[in-house]
Amino acid sequence: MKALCWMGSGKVEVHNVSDPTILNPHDAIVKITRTAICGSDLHLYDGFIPTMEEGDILGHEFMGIVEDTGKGVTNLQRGDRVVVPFTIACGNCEFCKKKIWSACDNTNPNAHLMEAAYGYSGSGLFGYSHMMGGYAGGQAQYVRVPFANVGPLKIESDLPDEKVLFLSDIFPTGYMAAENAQIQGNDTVAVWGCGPVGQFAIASAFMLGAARVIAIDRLPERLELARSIGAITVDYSEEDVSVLTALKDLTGGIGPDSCIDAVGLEAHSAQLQGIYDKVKTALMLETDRPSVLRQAIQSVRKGGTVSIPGVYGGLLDKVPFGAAFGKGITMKMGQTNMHNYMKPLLERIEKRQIDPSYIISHRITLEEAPDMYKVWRDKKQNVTKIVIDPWAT
Amino acid sequence: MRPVANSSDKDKDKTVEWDSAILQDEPGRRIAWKSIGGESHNAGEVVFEPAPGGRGTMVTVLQEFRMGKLASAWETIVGRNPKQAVIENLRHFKALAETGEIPRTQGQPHGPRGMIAGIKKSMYDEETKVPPGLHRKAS
Repeated sequence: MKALCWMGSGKVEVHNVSDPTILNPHDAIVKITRTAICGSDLHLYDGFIPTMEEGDILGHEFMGIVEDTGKGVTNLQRGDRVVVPFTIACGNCEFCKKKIWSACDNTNPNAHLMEAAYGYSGSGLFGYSHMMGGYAGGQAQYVRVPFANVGPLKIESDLPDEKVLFLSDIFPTGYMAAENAQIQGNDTVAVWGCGPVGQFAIASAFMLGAARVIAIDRLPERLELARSIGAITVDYSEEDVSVLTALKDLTGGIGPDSCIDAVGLEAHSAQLQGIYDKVKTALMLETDRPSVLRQAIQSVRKGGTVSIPGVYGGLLDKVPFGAAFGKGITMKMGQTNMHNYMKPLLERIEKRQIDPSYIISHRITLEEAPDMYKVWRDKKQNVTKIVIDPWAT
Repeated sequence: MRPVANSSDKDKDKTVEWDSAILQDEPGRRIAWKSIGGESHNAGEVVFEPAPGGRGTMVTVLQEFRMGKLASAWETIVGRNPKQAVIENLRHFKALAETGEIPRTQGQPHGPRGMIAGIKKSMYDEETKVPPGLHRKAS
């Protein structure tokens, strides 16, 4: 089959590789009909994530048709249309039973690698480095899905792929970010980062009762999308714009009730802190650039909540923890507990409360993907979301 | 009892055999053994106790190895030194007990590996040794 492989920092290539096979009793093989490039794939592309090896197949947002199942899979059969969550959960360990599926004990074959870095290992992920499982990803024509009896969501309606594909990662991720923000009615929520996850965080914040959402970014296409779903926007790259001042002004001095950091470790900042972080990461004295986290902590109101869906990997520097303590804020974060959200969010899509396909800007073939990685990384062509049909030529 | 451990590399099969004597056997609580001849010197104990708060079972493995210097050096290089092997065996046991399978990626597709990735293969699951019998076809 054809698959998109990571071949080094700044280098992805389409190769002919062997088809996946059933390896464990709870596996299924899925023929992929649609897949996407995620913002976090750009961290892999830029070489930020350790334990990647030449030849690793990327991609963790995918859906398709069940081709084959292992003997432990009784809820799915050949021909079923499924969306597959990007995290892999066994369903039976203490963490899965507590519904913290992203912390599953039993799905990372390389758990000892994550333990060395973090103390404990979370669940395996598709296509996201060997430390996180080393599972072959879904920017390909077929994929092997472990614990297919637990993860995949059957799509029984005739909704087109594009409308349900984002149940595989970014819609639940944005929704959990909004849930973690502990939003009450009449709240003002500030969202940094209007990429796809930020978009769904904004939409979900409204669904969960926010009175107003303030969206912060610098790319015109993203700000436009945010306005189209009802957010007020702040362009932080405009001269004389200070995000902290803008947020104070917009909230009568109290600050937003909740702040969502949908940017994570590769944050950009035009100010002095941005230069500080760039130098430190270049010198390997810091691994993550927390400009957004700093702003979120500084601007949130006293007693407010900072919700962090943005990916962080290593160590931060110069975080205003005194402000966090002094204001008594709550921080909620973590990898998405996909299995809690896929079904309820599918229902919202079926009831026409939201059409997730509104963020798609590019529809491409697998062969066009390597170029598009570069285009998106360089923020050209007004890319908002790239969807791939791995069978198109 | 005559257990047999098999380790197979791409190039050669290596079998180590030894006899063990059971020193203690309390069903569901503890089993202890000691090797009494053959090619491996080892002794160990597995203890099962209720976890605090009624949250399941705590499994503790104590294992002592005596290996030839060459074997020890080799195992450390390929990343399967005895301590790590015991830790991974425990992890595999937990996965098997809780889910009926051990997570694996051996046999999955990948693109061309390149020189460094090829050397590092033993660090990642692609070459991890699993107990015999678990590579049976699953479908």
